[in-house]
Amino acid sequence: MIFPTLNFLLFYLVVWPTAWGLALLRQHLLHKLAIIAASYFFYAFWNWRLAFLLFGSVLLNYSAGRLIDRWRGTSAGRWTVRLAVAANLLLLGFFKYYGWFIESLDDLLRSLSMERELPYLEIVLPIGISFFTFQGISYIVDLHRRDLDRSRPLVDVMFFISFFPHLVAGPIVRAASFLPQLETPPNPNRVFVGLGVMLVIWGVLKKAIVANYLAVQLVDPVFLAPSNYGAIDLLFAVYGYAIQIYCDFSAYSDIAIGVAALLGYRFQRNFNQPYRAESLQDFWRRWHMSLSSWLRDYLYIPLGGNRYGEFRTYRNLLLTMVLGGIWHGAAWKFVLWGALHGGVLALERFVYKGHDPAARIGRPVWIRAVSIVVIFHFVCLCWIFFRAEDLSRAWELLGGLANWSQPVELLSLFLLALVTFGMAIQFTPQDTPQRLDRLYHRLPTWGVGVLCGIVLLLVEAISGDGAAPFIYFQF
Amino acid sequence: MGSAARTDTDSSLGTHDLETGMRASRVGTVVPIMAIAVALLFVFNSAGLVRWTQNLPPSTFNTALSDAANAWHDAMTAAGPARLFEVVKDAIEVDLR
Repeated sequence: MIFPTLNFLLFYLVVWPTAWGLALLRQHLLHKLAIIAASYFFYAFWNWRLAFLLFGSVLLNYSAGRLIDRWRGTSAGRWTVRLAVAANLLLLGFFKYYGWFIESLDDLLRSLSMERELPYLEIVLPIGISFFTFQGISYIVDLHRRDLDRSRPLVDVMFFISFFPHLVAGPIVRAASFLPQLETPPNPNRVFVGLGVMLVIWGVLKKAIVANYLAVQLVDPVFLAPSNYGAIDLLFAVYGYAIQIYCDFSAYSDIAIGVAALLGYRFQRNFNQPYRAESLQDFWRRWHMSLSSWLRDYLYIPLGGNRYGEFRTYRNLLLTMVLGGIWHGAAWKFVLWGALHGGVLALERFVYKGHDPAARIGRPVWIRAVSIVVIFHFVCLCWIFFRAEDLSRAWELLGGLANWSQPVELLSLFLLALVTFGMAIQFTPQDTPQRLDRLYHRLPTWGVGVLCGIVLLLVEAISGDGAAPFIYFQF
Repeated sequence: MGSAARTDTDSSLGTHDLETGMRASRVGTVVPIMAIAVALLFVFNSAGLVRWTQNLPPSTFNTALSDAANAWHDAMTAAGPARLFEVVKDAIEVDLR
């Protein structure tokens, strides 16, 4: 079930009144059970068998949580944490990386003339496994670190891991920030309706118009056969992909946050105008914030962070980003993408002696502007490897950027306008959501309804029939 | 990570509350917003409902649903909103090409 579809609308039109009805009747347990049932229905819509895997993940983390509580402070407790984290990673590794591992091993053995019969398996990649596994790990580690005071009942752990808005493509919600919200029913007098409605509409608009058109009319054809196009088409396909992936992924996050907000639950922000970043560190504070903070807190810091000297810090940065790259998928292109980001983060740290240049006050405007352009282009370079079918096509595209003799075939004024729009929204004032919220409170409720209806109709008229899956579904 | 230049204990990364500076409302205000927006969608984009029912797996219930969607679409076409939406849609499609 994809967010901006009639299927999801009808699903939500049943779930929303049921959940709030039960909350208003003070049936807190039934409210949670209704949302859990809805979440499993949402997940089983793709493949009902995989719902059992999701439940298995919940059971694993719930049981480990109980044991951590019981054996807190003992070596048995610490071993439970290690084993539970390892089991989560094993689950993720088997479904996501087994095929890649066997293929890479096969290639290696062939290159050494040592061919063997390897156990290839047909494994279906369960949608959202990277997200719900990381949330499971968050529950275990938060409990171990006492960021979460005690283990939670099975219903709460199920709700936390399976809650449908974040289930298949994030944001990655932290146990310590989300589980306390399940202690009491959502407050019907304190719902961020303006925020929720605004995020849903904004997300639908970014996904259905900007991301879809850029994908279909520019990015997909160019990345499929880069050698068929000249430098201008290639260059704008790269810019187009930067905007497409932002508008696609941030749209999913916006809709997820909005849908949860209308149900009375709070997620944290996942994007903050990433292409206005003035350094790569700044970029990672603005892009997929729930993943970057997860990697920082559950990987970079446990590896030692910046506490053991310069060399160890660079190593930790590189390792964290490479593993972050592999998290996106089982392919060498993601390893390279992560290594490029990690390498430049380490370089920035070396050059600026550990200070973030973007955080300096009073930098001249021209330096800030040049920094933004440089960082944006570095991020675009990395996106080429991220998006290309394989590394050879990425090199093909990079080589084609020198071919200025071929005429423009795909780039149109409309696509140029979409790219420009995608860049312009990176530079809107930081308090735009608050301004829109004030506007929402000035309008009559029926006016907001009419406005939402008109915007959704316009989106439907512009986007045409059908909705492409979100990019991050594959991760 | 992006936080490397800051201290490892800095917890601001990824913990921005979107609700800061925003006003909460009563849950009841969602009802008219949803009702009006959905009604507008179903009235003007009744063709979308028909397309949706056509993609459902065949069953007695879904056939009845499809018949109802077709009847609704015919009524909306006769009344005008569905035709108006198709005109707007066609005009936009031509412009984007």
